[in-house]
Amino acid sequence: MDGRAETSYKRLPGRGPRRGGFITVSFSRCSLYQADDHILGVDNNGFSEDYKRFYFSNIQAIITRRTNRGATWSLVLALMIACSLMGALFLEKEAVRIFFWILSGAFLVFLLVNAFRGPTCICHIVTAVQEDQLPSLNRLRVARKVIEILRPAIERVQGRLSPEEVNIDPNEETLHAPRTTRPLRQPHARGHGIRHDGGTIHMLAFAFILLDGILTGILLLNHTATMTGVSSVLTLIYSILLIVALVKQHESDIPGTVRRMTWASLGFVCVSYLLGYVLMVTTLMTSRLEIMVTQWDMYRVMLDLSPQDSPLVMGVYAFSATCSLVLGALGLVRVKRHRDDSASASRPSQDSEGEARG
Amino acid sequence: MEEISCTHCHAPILAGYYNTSDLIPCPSCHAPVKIDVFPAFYHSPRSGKEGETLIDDQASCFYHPQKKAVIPCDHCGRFLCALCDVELSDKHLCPACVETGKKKGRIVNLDRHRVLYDGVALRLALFPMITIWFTLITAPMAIYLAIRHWKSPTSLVRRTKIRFIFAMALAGLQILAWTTGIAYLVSRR
Repeated sequence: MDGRAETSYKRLPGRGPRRGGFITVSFSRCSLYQADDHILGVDNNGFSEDYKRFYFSNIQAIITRRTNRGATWSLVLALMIACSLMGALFLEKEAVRIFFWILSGAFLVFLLVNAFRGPTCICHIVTAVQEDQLPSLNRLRVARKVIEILRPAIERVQGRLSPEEVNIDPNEETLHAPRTTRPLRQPHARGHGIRHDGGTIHMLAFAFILLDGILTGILLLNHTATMTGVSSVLTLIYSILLIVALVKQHESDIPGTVRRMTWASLGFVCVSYLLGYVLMVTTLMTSRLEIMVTQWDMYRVMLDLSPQDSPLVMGVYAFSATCSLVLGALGLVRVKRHRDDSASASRPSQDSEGEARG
Repeated sequence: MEEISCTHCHAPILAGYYNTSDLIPCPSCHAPVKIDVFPAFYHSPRSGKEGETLIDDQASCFYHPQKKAVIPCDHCGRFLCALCDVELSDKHLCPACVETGKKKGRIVNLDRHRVLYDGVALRLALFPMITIWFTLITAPMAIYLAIRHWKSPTSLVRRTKIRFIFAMALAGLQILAWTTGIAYLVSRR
C-alpha cells in the first residue's frame, strides 16, 4: 500500500462557492489542484474537506458556459450606488449623509472589482459516468487559463485528437444557421424535462407593474393618500406574482429575455422596498414622535408623504415610475411574443393531426 | 459515444460545435458555450478483465478457486485472478486490502473526506473572542485539540502546522488573560 506517501499538488487558479442559485449562502469554498495523473477538486468548509478526483485518462470534455450573474450583480450594485447617492445628496443630517457616501464608496469598490474580474461562467467536467460542476472556475478568464494549463497534461495521457476526431464543420452555415422562427426551448433527455409555460403569471405580474408605474406617474403630479395606498397594494400583489413567476419559469420554456426581466423586476422590487425603508427612517427622524402612536399612524404619515414635500421623495417616485413603466411595458411585449410563438408552434401539429384523422 | 448536452437547456450538441476557439451560442437556447473535447470522448470504454479458468496444477485465485492466479496482492500477498486484481497507483491490490486501506485511511488516493483539526482548533480559539466569556471554555479546548491531533492527517493539499501553532498561541494568551484577571479580582478582595 502507498501508506502515507503524499501526492504533490499544484494549486490551479480560481476559487468559489458551490452555488445553488443566484444568491447562495454557502460556507464551502471549492478549489482545484493538479497532480501528476489527476485533478483534485477540494470543497473546504473550514472544518473539513471533501475531495473528488478526476483522472486525466477519464476526462472526456470540459464545458464552459457564460452566465449573466456578473452582469446582474453589476446592475444590482449600480442600483445600490444610485440609492446610496440619493441618500447622500438629499438627506439633511450631516452624519447620515456621510454614512451614505461611505456606503456608495463601498458599493463602488465592489462594482469595480466585479467588473475587473470579468464575465462569469459555469464549468462542467465530463467523464464517461458523470458530469460535475467545477465551482472554482466561475470567471471566464480563470476558466480559460485553467483549461490551457490542463490541456497539455490531458494530452500527455490521452494523446491528441486525430484529424478524424476533430469534426470541424467547414460549412459555417451549420454553426451559425440563421433562424427563420424563434424556436422554443425543447424538452430533452438525460432526465431533465423542460415543460411548456404559457407565461400567464409573468403577464399578470408585468401588467400590474405597468399599472403601478402609471399610477406612480399620476402621483408625481397629483398626490393623494388613497392612490398611494392603492399603489402599495399593487406593489404587494406584483411582488407575490414575481416570486410565483420565478418559481414557474424554472426548467420551463420561458425565453431568456423574459427570465432576465423577471429577475430585474425582482431586483427593482427589492430596491423599492429599500428606498421605502430609507424614506420611512428619514420621516421618523424628522416627524413629531407624539403623533405616531401606533403602526397605523406611521403608515398614515408615510401615505401623506408627497413628492412635492422633498426632493428625496420626488426622486424616489420618479425612479419608481420610470422603472415600473419600462419593465412593465417591455415585459408585457416579450411575454406576448412568447405566447404568440407558442400558439403558432402548436398550430401546425394540430393541423397535421387533423389531416391524419381525415 | 454519447453526445454532449448543453448545461443550460440540456439539449444535445452536435460535434460541429466542439473545440471552437471561442464561445458560440447553443443551437437550442443560445447560451454562449465552449466545449473542449478530448480523445477519451471518442474512445470506447475498455472492457473489464475476466479471470481465466484454472487448468491442471496452476495456482488459483484466493477469492475464486476456479480461476487462474495472475498476480499477488502487493499488500497481503494473496494470489489474485484478473478479475480480483485492483490496480491503484501502480500497485496491485485485492478488494479486501482496498476496503481496509480505505477505512483506515492508508490509501491516500481513496481519501474523500478529512476533518481539518487545525482549522477547528483555530476557529475555537478565534471566533469566541467576539463574546469574551466563551473563551474561558474554548481556549483549553483549542489547546487540547491542537495537542491531541498534532500528528493526525491534515488536508491532502496543505502541509504546514501554522494553524495549530496560531491556535495554541491565541488560546494560550486567552488563558493567560483569564488567569491574570481572576488573580487580580481575588487579590483585590
